[in-house]
Amino acid sequence: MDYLKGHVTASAPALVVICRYLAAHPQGVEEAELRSALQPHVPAKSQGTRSDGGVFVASLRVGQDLRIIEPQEVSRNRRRWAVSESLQEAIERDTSPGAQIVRSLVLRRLGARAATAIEAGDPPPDLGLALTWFLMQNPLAPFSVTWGDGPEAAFKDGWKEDHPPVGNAEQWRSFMRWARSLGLAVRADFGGQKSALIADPTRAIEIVLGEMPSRLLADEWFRHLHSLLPVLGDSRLASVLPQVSGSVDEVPMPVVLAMRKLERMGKLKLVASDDSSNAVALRLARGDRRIGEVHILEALA
Amino acid sequence: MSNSMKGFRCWSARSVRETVYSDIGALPSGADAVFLAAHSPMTLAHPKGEQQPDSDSDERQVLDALLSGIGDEDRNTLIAVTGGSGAGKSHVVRWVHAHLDRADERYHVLYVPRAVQTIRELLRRIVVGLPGDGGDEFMERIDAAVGNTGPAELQDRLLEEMRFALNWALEPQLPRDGESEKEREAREERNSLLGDTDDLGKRRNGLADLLALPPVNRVLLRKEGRLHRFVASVYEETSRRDGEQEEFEPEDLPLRETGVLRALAGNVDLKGLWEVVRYDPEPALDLLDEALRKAVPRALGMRTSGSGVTLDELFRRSRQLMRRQEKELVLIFEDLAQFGLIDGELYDQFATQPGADLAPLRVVFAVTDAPYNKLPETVQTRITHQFKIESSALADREAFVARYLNLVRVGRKDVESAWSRVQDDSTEGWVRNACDTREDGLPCRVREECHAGFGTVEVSGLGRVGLYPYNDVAVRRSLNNRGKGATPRDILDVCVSETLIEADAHIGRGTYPHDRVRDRFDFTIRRSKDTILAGHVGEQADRLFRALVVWGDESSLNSIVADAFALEVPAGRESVSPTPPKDSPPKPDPGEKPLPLRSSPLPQLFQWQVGDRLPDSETDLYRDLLYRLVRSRLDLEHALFHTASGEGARILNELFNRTSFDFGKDARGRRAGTGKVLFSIGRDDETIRVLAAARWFYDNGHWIPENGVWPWPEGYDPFDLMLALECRLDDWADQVRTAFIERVRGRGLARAAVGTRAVALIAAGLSPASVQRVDDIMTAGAPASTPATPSWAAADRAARDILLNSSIHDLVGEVAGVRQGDTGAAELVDAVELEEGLKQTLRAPVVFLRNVVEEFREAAPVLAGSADTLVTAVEQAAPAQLHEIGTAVETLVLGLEGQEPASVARAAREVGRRALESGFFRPADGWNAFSDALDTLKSVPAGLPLEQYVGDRRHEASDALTTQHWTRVAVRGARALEVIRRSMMATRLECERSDGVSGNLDQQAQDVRQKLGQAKKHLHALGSAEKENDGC
Repeated sequence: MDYLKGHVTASAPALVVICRYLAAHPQGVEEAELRSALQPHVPAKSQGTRSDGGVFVASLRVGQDLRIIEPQEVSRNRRRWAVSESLQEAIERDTSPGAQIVRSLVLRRLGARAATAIEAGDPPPDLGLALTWFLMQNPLAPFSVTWGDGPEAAFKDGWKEDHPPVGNAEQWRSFMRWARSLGLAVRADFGGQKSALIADPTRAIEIVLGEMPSRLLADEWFRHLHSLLPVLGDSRLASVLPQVSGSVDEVPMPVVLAMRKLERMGKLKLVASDDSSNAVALRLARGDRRIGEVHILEALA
Repeated sequence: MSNSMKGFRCWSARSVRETVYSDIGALPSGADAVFLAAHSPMTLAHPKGEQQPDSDSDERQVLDALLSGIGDEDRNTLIAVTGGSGAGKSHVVRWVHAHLDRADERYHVLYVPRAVQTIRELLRRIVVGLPGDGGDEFMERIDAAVGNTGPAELQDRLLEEMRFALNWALEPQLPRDGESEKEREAREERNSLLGDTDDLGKRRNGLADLLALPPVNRVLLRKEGRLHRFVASVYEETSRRDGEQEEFEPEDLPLRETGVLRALAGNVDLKGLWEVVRYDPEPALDLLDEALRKAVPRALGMRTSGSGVTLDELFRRSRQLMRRQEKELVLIFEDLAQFGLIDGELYDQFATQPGADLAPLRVVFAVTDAPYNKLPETVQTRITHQFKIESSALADREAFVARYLNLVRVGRKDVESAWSRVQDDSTEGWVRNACDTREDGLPCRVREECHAGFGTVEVSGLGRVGLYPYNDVAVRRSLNNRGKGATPRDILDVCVSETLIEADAHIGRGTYPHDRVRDRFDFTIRRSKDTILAGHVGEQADRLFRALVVWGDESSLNSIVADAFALEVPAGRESVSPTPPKDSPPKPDPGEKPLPLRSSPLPQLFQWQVGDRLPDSETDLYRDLLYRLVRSRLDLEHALFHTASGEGARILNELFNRTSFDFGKDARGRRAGTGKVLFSIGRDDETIRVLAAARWFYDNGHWIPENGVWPWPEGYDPFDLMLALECRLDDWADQVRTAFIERVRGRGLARAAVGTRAVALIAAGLSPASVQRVDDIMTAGAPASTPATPSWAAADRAARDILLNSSIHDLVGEVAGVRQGDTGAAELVDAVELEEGLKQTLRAPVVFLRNVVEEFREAAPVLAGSADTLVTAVEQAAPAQLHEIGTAVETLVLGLEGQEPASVARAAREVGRRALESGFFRPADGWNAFSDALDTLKSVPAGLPLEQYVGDRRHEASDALTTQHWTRVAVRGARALEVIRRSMMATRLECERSDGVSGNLDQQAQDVRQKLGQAKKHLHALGSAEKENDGC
């Protein structure tokens, strides 16, 4: 299922709001009641007037596709929704306004969904592909937030004849929302109304550090990271992308940026190694380094 | 093996003090050797006078002009050397003096150096220098006049002599041929200030009379005044340099004192004169200068009223003697201005042409441009040559400095010895080169290393002179630091004297270059401190940094320089240049013409790091760009906080804005106050890197050095800069985000908004049961329920104001809403948190409102203020409201006796109607009120929790609030029941009274009696209650 093309108004914050409500009601909530509870401001007349059913419906569908939200049939015309039982506790526990844990769950599910689809020979969600491709671009030359000011050409050039996962300005806006919400990008506003989107998965990686082994050989560390967050360069996802600069075996530059930032923030220790067979090269501009091990210095709660 | 230069010095502070005199006036007259040893040739223009054939353009032409006049018995020769202050005029004059052949029998030389500081000493020097007699007597009289008089007395005597000059000595000026209008006005003004001449020839009502006034007298004699300063110069050596021309100033007159007018009361003429002086004091000040010039020779005893010898007489006698000896008198004055107030005597001599009994004068004097132009016409017209300093000794600045470097190395004793051995008028070649001869005539032991490491300068007459402790970069930076208009004096003061003296001490201690080097040299840098240091840290880092800037021009430091300064330089240290990133950007279209690069804005930042002030515009710009960059990565909308507009924007802006970036005390603008987010922007390497990165990224939007609109900052790596900025922006954004979330207490503000609306709905009459869902609360308007009772009116009003306040309503969507649609409105809200909060609100609504007031007084003043108004109104209304409710409940409980209000109303209506038809209804005009009351009672719903309310005796403010949905109906019902009861009571009494008076009434229909009987039971109860209440 395509998220950007089919459910362009879906978003991580909306999915978080829905998941939280459902997690607080483990017995499930009927769709009408759920909509009423979450959309107190929206007059009934204007609800779901878009072709894709608006933010609520689109996000619900994406949540369903990601197996985060599950439908329970009540009757022919009525459906009851509940969060996946395996996620219920984690979602309910994260009461912070930012709900980073929940957003991280979404990211993980998104990557897993894309990888699974590829393994099964199915088309992966466009969002998963687009994020993976985006996270292989050079963060030293960030994208403009204006679709026609670079991103359009980049996607078209990248996918050549194929349809790129992001095809127009609306989908690009949706993509940027997802990327920032999931901790994969940050925005920078400059003078003269110009803004850029920087591929930077620092936040996404930081959140999963708590689930990473505290010490690991570098290549294993990245394999583990990819298993949690496939969009950061998992080989299955990378294999279906158009050719990107550099080798697919290399750590993507935005991930290098994130690793170096985390190192500088005192969360990681990147142990240098020149000759270990487990060493991984972190290449970005002049700052090339080969690391043999990754140590987590500060486990996240 | 090479020699180490560690701690090596080839000069000392003492040798510098003995040999370097920036002010020629401070150089003793016998120190020609020192002076000449470092003298650099100068270029002089020759705007007036005949040019000598084969004459050079340097100072030699002055000497040639002087010597060319020797032998001309009919004419004096006056040679003026002019130029700006510090240009080297005195050097030229001194050079001429040094090169005059003292053994030449044709002339006698009187030389007055600038070192002569007091008038007494000046006169003594002239007297001693002039051949002939009479000098002793003259000086005795001067000494007597000065030595037997205290400064105060001499000052007063001067003032009296000035008054005497104004009254008697100064003559009115006569019109001159060709006098301009301006000159005529000035002349007439001067003459007018002198006053009117009386029959005896004394002037009246002139400036002299004004000087006699106590207020004027007092100000003229004050400390720091013109007279005081002059008298001080008579007694003490006072520092004076050319260009400093002493004159009377407006402060020497009491122009703003009212006491003068009081003192002039009654003297209309003098008062008028004072008004003229006050209006334009300049003519009066000029006349005072004129008077002082007349007064000084008299006050100092230089002129007598008798037959004593005067200075003029001494000069005449000398010239006569010289004539007799067939000699000429050569006068050489290093600074004509030092004659100041006695120059009149000198000028008289200049104007006196030689003759049969008077020898000619050959005069060379230095004078700055302004006083030169003011020389009396009698002198001006007699100037034979004017030489003007055109290019100073600084034409070759390195050589200029190098001569002094050599001089301080050779030392005074050595150069004096060498000069004494010079037999001809050689200007060059007599001073030895210290580098080549330092070790008993052999080269300095570190010459090779020193010259290789610090460099040399080729100096005419000396050869290669080592620049140590400078090198070519350091010399350039040292000279540049003095500015383009630097004079030789400026250069000598700082670049030679101060720098060498300080270097001597600090090199010896191993602490050179010390901190003040930054002030001594041009410390302009193009790169940041950390890129210049390239990671070098430690206790030597600051010294190394200064050395790298001043000696290494920000790139590398010669190992010999480092050795001399006891610095350890990391091996292989080279300047870093950026390397293009792996992914090169698309090449520009060959057809496109590349835009010219702007100049880098970063040097101002780097200068700020090393102590300069950051220009205000730059500070503002950095604040702005940092604010934008941090603001754009807050991503608060992903946590459902809308900060683009509305309350969210206001709260964020109060917490974080451009003033949050504090650039220190010397930066323009205020800094964020207490409770706001504040980031201290220091001058440390890391912060400078962040600022440089921010500026680059902000201006360029990428990290590709080749594609910048200004040059990539040398020494920085793109990724390092990006990393530094990214980490700092993340950190700052985290701090702002955390502060914002604390300020709104997470979802607390949204809960407060929802809860406050819920409480307002309840206070306005909605039942708590109907506000259990966020959905209900956000969609409900103010209920159109039973009006509040008077005691609750204020609370009801406050509640309705809240419900009508759109900002409180919208707050929920702004701090707990998903806003991503085209309209910008909240699409979804985080209902879980809000519903949980709502439960707590409803459990204790009054406590909740108080918490809202406390917690959001600053963050959300509108909400907190509304909550405060409501809770205050509720608490104030509660006692009366509870009493009202209690009374009403009691009335209803007793009056209804468990019956439903509607059934009681129906029965009462039936009784009333029959009584009305029978004419018994009372009060007779009360039927309408009775009927309305019945309607009200009928509308009171059955099942009000009356018994329950009576049973619970501990009512609080929250009870008054949470029971609004029924108590306001109950109160109205109770009032209606009261009206009904009173009517029934009155009607019963009327019936009973009528039973005795009109027995026919007993014939009324039996069914009516039956109905009455049914109602009587109730009426009885109501009547009894009334009696009880009345205390009957």
